[in-house]
Amino acid sequence: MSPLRRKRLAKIGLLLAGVALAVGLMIMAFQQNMMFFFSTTEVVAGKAPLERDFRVGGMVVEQSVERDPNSLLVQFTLTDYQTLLQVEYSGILPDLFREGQGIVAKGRLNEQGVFVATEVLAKHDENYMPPEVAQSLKPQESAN
Amino acid sequence: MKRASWPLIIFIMISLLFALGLMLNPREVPSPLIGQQAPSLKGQKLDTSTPFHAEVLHHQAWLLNVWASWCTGCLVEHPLFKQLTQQPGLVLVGLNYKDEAKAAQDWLNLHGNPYDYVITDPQGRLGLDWGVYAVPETFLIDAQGIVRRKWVGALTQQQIEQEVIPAWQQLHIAGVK
Amino acid sequence: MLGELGLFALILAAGFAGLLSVLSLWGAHTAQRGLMHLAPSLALAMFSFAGLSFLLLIVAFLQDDFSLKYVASHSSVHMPTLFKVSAAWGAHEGSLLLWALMLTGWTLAVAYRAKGLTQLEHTRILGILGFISFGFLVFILFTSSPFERLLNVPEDGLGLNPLLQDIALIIHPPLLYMGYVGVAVSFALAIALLWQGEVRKSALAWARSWTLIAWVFLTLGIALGSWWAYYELGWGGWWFWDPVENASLLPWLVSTALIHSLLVSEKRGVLIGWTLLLAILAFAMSLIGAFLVRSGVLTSVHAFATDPTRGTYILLFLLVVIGGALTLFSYQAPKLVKPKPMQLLSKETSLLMNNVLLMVMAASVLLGTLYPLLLDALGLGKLSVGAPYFNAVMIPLTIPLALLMGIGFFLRWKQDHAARLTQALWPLALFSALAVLIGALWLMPDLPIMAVVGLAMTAWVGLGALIWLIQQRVRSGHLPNSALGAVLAHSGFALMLFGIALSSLYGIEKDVRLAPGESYSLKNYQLQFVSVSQGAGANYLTSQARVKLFKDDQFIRELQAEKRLYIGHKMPMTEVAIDAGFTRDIYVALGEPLGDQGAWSFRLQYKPFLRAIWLGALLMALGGLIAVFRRWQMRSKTI
Repeated sequence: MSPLRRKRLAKIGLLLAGVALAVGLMIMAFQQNMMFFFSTTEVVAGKAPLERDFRVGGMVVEQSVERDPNSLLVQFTLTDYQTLLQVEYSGILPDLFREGQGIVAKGRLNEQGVFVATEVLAKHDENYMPPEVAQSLKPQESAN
Repeated sequence: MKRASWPLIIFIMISLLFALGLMLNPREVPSPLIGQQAPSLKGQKLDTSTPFHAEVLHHQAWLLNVWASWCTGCLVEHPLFKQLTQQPGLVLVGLNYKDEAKAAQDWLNLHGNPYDYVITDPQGRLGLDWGVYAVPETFLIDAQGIVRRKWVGALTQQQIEQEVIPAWQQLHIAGVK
Repeated sequence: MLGELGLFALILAAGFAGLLSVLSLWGAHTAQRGLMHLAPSLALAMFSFAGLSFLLLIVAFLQDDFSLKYVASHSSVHMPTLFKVSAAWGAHEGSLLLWALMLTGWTLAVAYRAKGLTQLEHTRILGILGFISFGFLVFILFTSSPFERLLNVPEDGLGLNPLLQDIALIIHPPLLYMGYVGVAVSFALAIALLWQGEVRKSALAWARSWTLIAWVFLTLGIALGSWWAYYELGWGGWWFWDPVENASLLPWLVSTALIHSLLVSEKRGVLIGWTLLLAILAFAMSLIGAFLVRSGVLTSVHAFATDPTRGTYILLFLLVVIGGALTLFSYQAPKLVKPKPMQLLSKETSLLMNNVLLMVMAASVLLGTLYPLLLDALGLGKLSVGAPYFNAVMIPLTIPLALLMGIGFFLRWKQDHAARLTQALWPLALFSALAVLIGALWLMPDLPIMAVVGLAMTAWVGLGALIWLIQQRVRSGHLPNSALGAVLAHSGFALMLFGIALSSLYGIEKDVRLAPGESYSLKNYQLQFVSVSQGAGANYLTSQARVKLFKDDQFIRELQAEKRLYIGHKMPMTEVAIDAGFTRDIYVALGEPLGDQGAWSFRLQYKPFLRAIWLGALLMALGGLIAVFRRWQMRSKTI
């Protein structure tokens, strides 16, 4: 093998190793951080995983929001117009959170079948907004 | 395979995905109501504050448009409803969703009132029964009181001409027979 | 009447764009000098009419012409004049017109700056830019005209979303669009070069300046957007890995790679194929970003009514422009590229490796952005890919990138030797170690491993640039002309790494409940909630909280955080209060009332060195500008 060829090979090897590393990282990151999305019916039917976080979407049922006056705990009921799901969240809700409003919550189910949210995202307001406005609003809807 | 062709191949694959994504139309929210008996529509009329019940609409196909004076999309689709009112025999019911009566009445005075009936739903309760996610939404109900179609968002000229009116006409003729 | 005039001007602009494209490309093909000489005048006409059209749109906004649907949906009589003007590009139609206007502006600038290009190349570039402008103008005319009339003219418009009524948002989109369309210039050059089947060094030098300018705009635009999101959105983050943000990051990553690869190609005549590919991809990313943002494919949970014809059009345009470019590339690139051996230990190889890292970053961002779409398309369920994925991929990739960035300055072109390099690197290694040690002692005892890594990267990249600069100064007696910008940009990147590392590792975010008089401590700062009062502004109602800020029990100032309810928009808005400083930000956002004892929920944050992130970005942009000016100076001296 000529030195030139060897160097070329080394270079290609290095490149391949780099790409393989990156792909590996990506796959690992995906596996750990993928977040599936379910409706309340699917959650109640037991289709959602128990041991990991997922996201659930639905409308906040009118008059279901209950705030604990002494802490940041909030309880409300979500619905997809078929099934109800009890949700619990501790923290500040996004500006757009309101009863009768579509939201997406991230978290997991506890043993009592209550969805404990770690993050609540509110959808846009009740206008069907032009997408670009909705786009510009998107970041603010995420609450941690 | 030439090395220089790889970017093209990857690009074509991504484009295919985009095309699929466009066809997928994730914006369509399927309504569980389609094919089901329509929820009851009992409420007060906006102009007279007298009770209204959707039973008066029985034995004919009709359209329900959910709107509000604070809604952008409603303003956009509103002028197009002239075309609907020109259809002989078409009944268009407006459901005034989470609105104040005065604001709604002013809005109608300003932009014109294409509705045969306007029912108020200040708390959004009727809207909840009908599975209204947001406004505007438009439902088509047949003579048997079954929800046949639902349009989400502001209707376009094209949708009214090619979807709403033909779909209504079909049901209307069937209803008359 | 003005609306029709605007539309007419837009049609004329599209007409001239079409003419520019056809006549230039035909003229270049048949070598007709007469046609080729026409190109600059056509570019001028195209720009003038696009400009007139945009001007008329602004006039319509200023005159509250609510007979235009676009004006009625995004403006209102009560809005301040400044926001009436900026509302012109506050939504899809107008912002697209601004895009097109800027594209024609870049085309015009290219038309009158041809130094370093042959006439054939120059004409082809103008023809291609004309074609792209034509595509965008036609897109506006057929799917997104801002001059559409309403049948019933409302008395007042709906007003601009209060979130967008902000000074940063007036300048943020134009900056970003300047960057997005700016990369079209190097794209056009790449096509022209592939077309003629020959690459000359001076053409690459020409492209580098243009790419740098576009990159500066992108950098500033992204930084400004991030700053806006931080103070306006009420959640205290500065980057959300939102598809819209990713759409701006993608062209930035690729054009960063392109700038470096152009340097290699210009200096050493290698990596020509790679450079041309990057030039195509940078613009491809900018178009893909436009597609993702404007077609609505990615916003299933958030946005509803979109016009699918828009997405279809952009996709077709993407296929024609980028598909065509990559087809040309796959045919022509093998003919162009004469494989020249590159040594493993050389500046060009290290730059190539950095390029690969940047492209892997871009690919993983793109993948993360598209993955939900892919799974949805395959019917495998709906999911989202959040910040954890992006962090998990980007952080490990940044480490080797930073390592190479520090070494890069000291490496020699062509062939370097390990012995020489180690000798050149030891001052850097020594000072970096020292800096990390000092930093670690200062941060003790709370010292996570990532903090050490962050400090090391900062020191290695920043000191690498500075030490090299000092060595050059000592050796040659004056500052190196060419690399001053690069040194500044790299130092800016180091500063940014520092800010990211410290603010994310040592930042504190707390959601708390506070009754009047109660305090909460963040590090050595105390925040005392005084009271909430109700008030009203010009077009909003507000709940205003007074919060006293103390440092080590020493009163500093009073902060006022607000929750506003804009009239006509049923949406509350959080106006956060920030006590800003280079070493730390104290951030107070008002939540909601809890119980009837006057208690409220608050989001409190302590973010050390957050400002270093934007300051770093600013330095990077400044570095880019200096690099451009130095190049122009040098060129005018040599000629």
